[in-house]
Amino acid sequence: MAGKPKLSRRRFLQASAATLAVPTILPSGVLAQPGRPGANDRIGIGYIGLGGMGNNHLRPDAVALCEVDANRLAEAAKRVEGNPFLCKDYRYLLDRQDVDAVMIATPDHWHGMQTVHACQAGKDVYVEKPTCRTIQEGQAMVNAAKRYRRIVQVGAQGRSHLNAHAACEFIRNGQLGRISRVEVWHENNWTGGWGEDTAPPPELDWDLWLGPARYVPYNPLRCHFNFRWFMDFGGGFIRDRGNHVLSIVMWCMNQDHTGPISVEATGAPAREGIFDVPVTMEVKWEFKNPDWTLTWSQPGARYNNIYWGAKYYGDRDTLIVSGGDGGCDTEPKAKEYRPPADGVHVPRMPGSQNDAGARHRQNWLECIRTRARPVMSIDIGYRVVTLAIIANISYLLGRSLNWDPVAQRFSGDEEANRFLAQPYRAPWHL
Amino acid sequence: MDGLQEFLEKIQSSDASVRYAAWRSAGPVGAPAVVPLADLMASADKGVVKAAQGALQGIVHYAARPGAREEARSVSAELLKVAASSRPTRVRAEALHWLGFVGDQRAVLGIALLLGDAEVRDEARMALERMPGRAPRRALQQALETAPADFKPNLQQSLSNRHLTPDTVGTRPAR
Repeated sequence: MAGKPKLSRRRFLQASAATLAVPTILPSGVLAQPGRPGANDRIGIGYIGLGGMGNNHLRPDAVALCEVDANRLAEAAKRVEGNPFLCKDYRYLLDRQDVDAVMIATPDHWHGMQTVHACQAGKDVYVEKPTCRTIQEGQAMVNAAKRYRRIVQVGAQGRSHLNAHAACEFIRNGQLGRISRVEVWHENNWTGGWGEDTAPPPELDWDLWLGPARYVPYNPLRCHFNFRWFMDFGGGFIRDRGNHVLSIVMWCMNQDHTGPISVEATGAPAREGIFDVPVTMEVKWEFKNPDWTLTWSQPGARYNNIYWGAKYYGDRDTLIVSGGDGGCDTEPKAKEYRPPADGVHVPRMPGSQNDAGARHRQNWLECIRTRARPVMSIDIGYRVVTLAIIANISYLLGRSLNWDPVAQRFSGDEEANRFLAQPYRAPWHL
Repeated sequence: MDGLQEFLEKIQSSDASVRYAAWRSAGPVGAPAVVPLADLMASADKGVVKAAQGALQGIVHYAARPGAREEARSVSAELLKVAASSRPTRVRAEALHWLGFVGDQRAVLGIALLLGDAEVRDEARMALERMPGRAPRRALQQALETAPADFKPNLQQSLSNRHLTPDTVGTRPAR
């Protein structure tokens, strides 16, 4: 393996196990109580992945930075005060005692593994959406958070948006009546050219960028941003922004701990070019008890000339909730609604910022101190991304599938179940 | 056979819309198209490669649908021919990737033989890891006994992964 780290997987795990067993080498903030920084302790944060959202999250008091692109790493380091630890292999960062928590903003195919390893190393985690790439990765993330008692927040910050909260309270208090259908729309996935398979630029460790993923040669159209348009890496908008809008839907419908019983997806891939996700896509999920239907359409209806959002259809009224990430809006009737004293009061995230991203990070930091459950905890994040994962599988197979939300498996389709886990390149494993 | 020839000509068309229509309806063409499509995957024309890959994927998923065991076996047998051939490594690796989805117990021996082929052994390992049942596990175990030292950890990784369950994944201790 090119750029093979000096820290072996074995030594890393041994170090992780030792960290869990011997309090004297726990991270910096735990003097108040093992695994829990005291109220006045500084939380040492390490940043893994410093492109797009990683750059957005980065704060000047970072204690460690990790990035496989040396140029990005150097640029990020300029924004940090003091002398942060710098590395390109996240295992070195996880091995540090001054790192209490990590913000993971790497490409999607790394989210599951890095979250599991961070939990094993005793770090709390903020992991960007989409939560993971496979069902097995999601299960591993949930198990690791529970087993190692870690706070894991998924970066679907719509849950911390005041307008999404207003829509959620409006719907959960029955203002639309009985909801039979929710229609999500989104602009098409991108198309592109062919690029050229070539040697990676000297600043990029391509082998480490790929990590556990199936090997493909470097092509400038794969990396950095465009990994989203490949099934093996990003899975298209349905797993990307879909994670935001579907998160709001599941929240409003109070369906965080269950899932659909069937999925049917169709789509049309690009006729030319290197990208392999469908350009247009139609998905239908059916839910039971209560019975309702969720649909995803690219491009879809584009209500109010907005690129993406959801329309809720009740037997008394309808409601549009646009966006679902840091930019989220809804209709005045929901924003002006106040539930009665005996109505459903959905907890609203504390914090003074108007910016949903800032509120979401603040919620995570508060939960690290209090050990309370974050607003977008990993178990919810996993259930949300499950919708997108099984939709992509249905699209690839070209057939409708029955899903068992309790067993978290497909019923009656062996091939579909072979998609639940992804064999990794060595030496990477969950 | 005429139908197959016509299908393959469309996959090689200079018109992207003709290639696309052929690739998107490839599923029922089935096993006879597998080897010719593998040859087209080595084409210098990227549009033809994309169409051939898409068609092969469609054939695999169509054959692996519930209740089509014989079709799946026919497609697996053809994929094994490609995987064990002297075609470019990229094409052989692709065939092994799809065997992981459509292959059944009858395909295990053929895949296991490729665990000894340095060019595609890791793709063979991952295909066997993905396949359910005892035969793939036994094949990985047997390969472990004779594998070169640099490949043993990969085989151990796959054997270990096959024991993971939804309740245990993410929690195992260090080896």
